[in-house]
Amino acid sequence: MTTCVTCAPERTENLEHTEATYRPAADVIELEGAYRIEVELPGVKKENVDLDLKEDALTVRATVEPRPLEGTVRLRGYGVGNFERTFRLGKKVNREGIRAELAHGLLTLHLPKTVAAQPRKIEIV
Amino acid sequence: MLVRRDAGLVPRSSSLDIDRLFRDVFEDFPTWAPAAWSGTSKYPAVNAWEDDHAYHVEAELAGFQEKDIEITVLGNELRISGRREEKTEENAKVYHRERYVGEFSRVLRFPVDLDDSKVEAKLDHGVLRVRLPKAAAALPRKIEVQG
Repeated sequence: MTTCVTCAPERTENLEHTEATYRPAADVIELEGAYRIEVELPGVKKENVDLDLKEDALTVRATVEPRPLEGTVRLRGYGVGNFERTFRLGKKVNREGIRAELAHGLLTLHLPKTVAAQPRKIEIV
Repeated sequence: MLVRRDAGLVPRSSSLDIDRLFRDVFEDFPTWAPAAWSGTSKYPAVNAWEDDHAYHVEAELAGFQEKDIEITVLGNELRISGRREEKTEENAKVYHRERYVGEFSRVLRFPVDLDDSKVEAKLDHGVLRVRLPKAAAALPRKIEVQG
């Protein structure tokens, strides 16, 4: 249903570049009546997330408040910057029913399937 | 969050020479890690920095809550461990996976001992920050020159 479109580097690139925008890690799970996308947005507050659906492209953008490393840096495993990632939605997703929630730095997107895409159980009479 | 202090679980190695101590600064725990400290995973990624009085470690643990993470300090080592359980839903199919799942345990070793009674850890919106004060014996001491 989705193709994950790369639009930003991995978090382990551009470590020294303070203005960098990173591609957040994400899982896509298919359930019976819906898809669920879990996007890691550590350090992000609700008011700093922007979700934008344009035709088939669902884009997540998040602003991250800078977290300076004060002192002598000894280890740099990741860069801190804004997040951006676009997911391309297939025909099976009901655009009207998309919901999102953010908790503990994890954004969960619920994408219900269209009625036509839902499994239908046929009763045997 | 649980900040646990361990004492005496592992024999402290006193035979390391100075060169080795400095080379090991901030490296992950070496392969001879005793069972109690077996964690050597590369997850979570960490940033670490140092000021005169303390080391600071930051790790990104999106989706984790305090109860899911354990911080342990022993001597000059910090261990961050935890577990992410997968949601079990009927007929769920993983379409695409990038997020870490399961147990993790990452150990960082510092060049000097830490004051385990003053370690502070905070988890905020999926970002863990640990402040590890250096042990008093490790702080620089000014020696007066007698006239």
